[in-house]
Amino acid sequence: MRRSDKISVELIFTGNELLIGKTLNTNSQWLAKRIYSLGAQITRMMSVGDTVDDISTALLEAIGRKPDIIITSGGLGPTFDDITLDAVARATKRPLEINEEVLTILYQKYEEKYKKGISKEKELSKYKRKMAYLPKGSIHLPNTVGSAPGVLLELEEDEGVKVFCLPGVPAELKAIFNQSIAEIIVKIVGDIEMAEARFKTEQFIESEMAALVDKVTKAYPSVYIKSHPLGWEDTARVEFHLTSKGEKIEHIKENVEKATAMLKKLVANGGGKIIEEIE
Amino acid sequence: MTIEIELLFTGNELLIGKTLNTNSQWLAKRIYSLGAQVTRMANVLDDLQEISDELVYMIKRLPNLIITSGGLGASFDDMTLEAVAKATDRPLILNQEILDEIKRVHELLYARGDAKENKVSDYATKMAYQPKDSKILPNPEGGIPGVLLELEKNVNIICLPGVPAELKAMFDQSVDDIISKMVGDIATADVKFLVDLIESEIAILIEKVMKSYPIVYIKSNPLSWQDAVRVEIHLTSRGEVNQVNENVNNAAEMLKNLILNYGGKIEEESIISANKKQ
Repeated sequence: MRRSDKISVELIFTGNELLIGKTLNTNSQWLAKRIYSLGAQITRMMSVGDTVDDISTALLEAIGRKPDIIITSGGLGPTFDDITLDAVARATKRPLEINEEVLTILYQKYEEKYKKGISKEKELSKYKRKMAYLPKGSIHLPNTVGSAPGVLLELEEDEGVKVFCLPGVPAELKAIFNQSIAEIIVKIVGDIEMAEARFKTEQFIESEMAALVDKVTKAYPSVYIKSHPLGWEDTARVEFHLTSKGEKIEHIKENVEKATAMLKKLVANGGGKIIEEIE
Repeated sequence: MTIEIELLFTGNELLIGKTLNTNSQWLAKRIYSLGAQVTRMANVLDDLQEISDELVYMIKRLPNLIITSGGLGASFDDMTLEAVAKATDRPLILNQEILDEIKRVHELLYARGDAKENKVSDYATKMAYQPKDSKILPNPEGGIPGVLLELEKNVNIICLPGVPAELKAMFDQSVDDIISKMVGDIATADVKFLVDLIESEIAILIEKVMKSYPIVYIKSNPLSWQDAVRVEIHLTSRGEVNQVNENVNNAAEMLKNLILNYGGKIEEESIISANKKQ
């Protein structure tokens, strides 16, 4: 079994709306939280514009780092600037091929819309058909919310890197992730345990507590301790976040508890005040 | 020529989903309204190699400016300036001015009891080391200052803190001017409205309009189609101020007519905004 902390995931978000600040990228946090809770580690996120060049460059960079998984979000729809699959095809040197299953699904979905009067045209236009062209060798992932299916392409030539392509619409992205991707990640990650703890401190500055963090890290090397300064106008306030994950036999929860207790004690003995409530 | 800007965010908290990156949208919006264009954003772990690798990628693309956010503080995993030094192959040098300021603040914190030692720790001293040839960007919020570093081939690097209040204050005070000077005299305009047609059918109408007005960028974002179909249309353009307004207005007018003729409804319209920057 591979060690869980080595399962790495890179995310690529496409969309000019992200780069001009029109849209706040909430998909990034949602995916990061989900993927982390499944025991994998996101090692990088990127946002690029809607051009085949920019997307395929980002893909090539990501593939070169050989993560276990790459997930793209956005650019699967019918409009001219929905070009993620073109970029995947180019970056992985594969042609786009029509997928008959997807075509049938699209036909059914749009027929339903036409009957409801939501769609004005009866036949599948080239814009709609475009969503059925997938890079050769990929499989489609059902989209229960919207039209464009998700895509999974495994790159045998690049150590089996799995490339997932998801829509950018949050409801569709979440549905496809939950239905098709979560279990694949769980399978790769294996049986792992995770633990975290948080608390805040007052009346002690971060740069002095850094030495205390060092001591705790030396005693519990598997626990990652991160400090976030929260301001020092009235009193110096800092938040600590301790995290760890690993296989069951590694006593993950116990170590986080012990490390937390040790750090709290060092801070309190040093003259700092521990604040337990975390919103 | 468009001024291209790449953004680099550091912090494990972003990659485990603990923190929503709101700095990215705030910066992108401000930069766009100044007439420049963000061409890429990256979020990387608090790891010296990862940060410096990403910087090297960015520098190779020769953007006009790279802005980093995060990793300027005192803790062991604050290492942005070290990464900048590594990526640009220059040493870190002690900046006496910053060290004096750190000492001044430390005395204040010591007097108040928040600092327990009467001398500045190594962790705090670290914050006074900047890549060689850096200029200081003041931090009006009182935190650690930022860095401006000019590289060869007109690539600039600006390092800002990750704390939103500090990042925003420093952008307003210094970065705004730096970008405005790079951009020169330019204006941007945008128009938004909602349509009740499905996106795949609006696509053909948008293509027609963009053929007539290539300078106007038209983006459609599907908002829903379960009960009622709603697609948001967003037209943007940049250039000389009068020209920009005219182009966006004309393109919006043409698209609205095409939509109405097709049987769609325009649901709502937001105000046209144009910003002129000197």
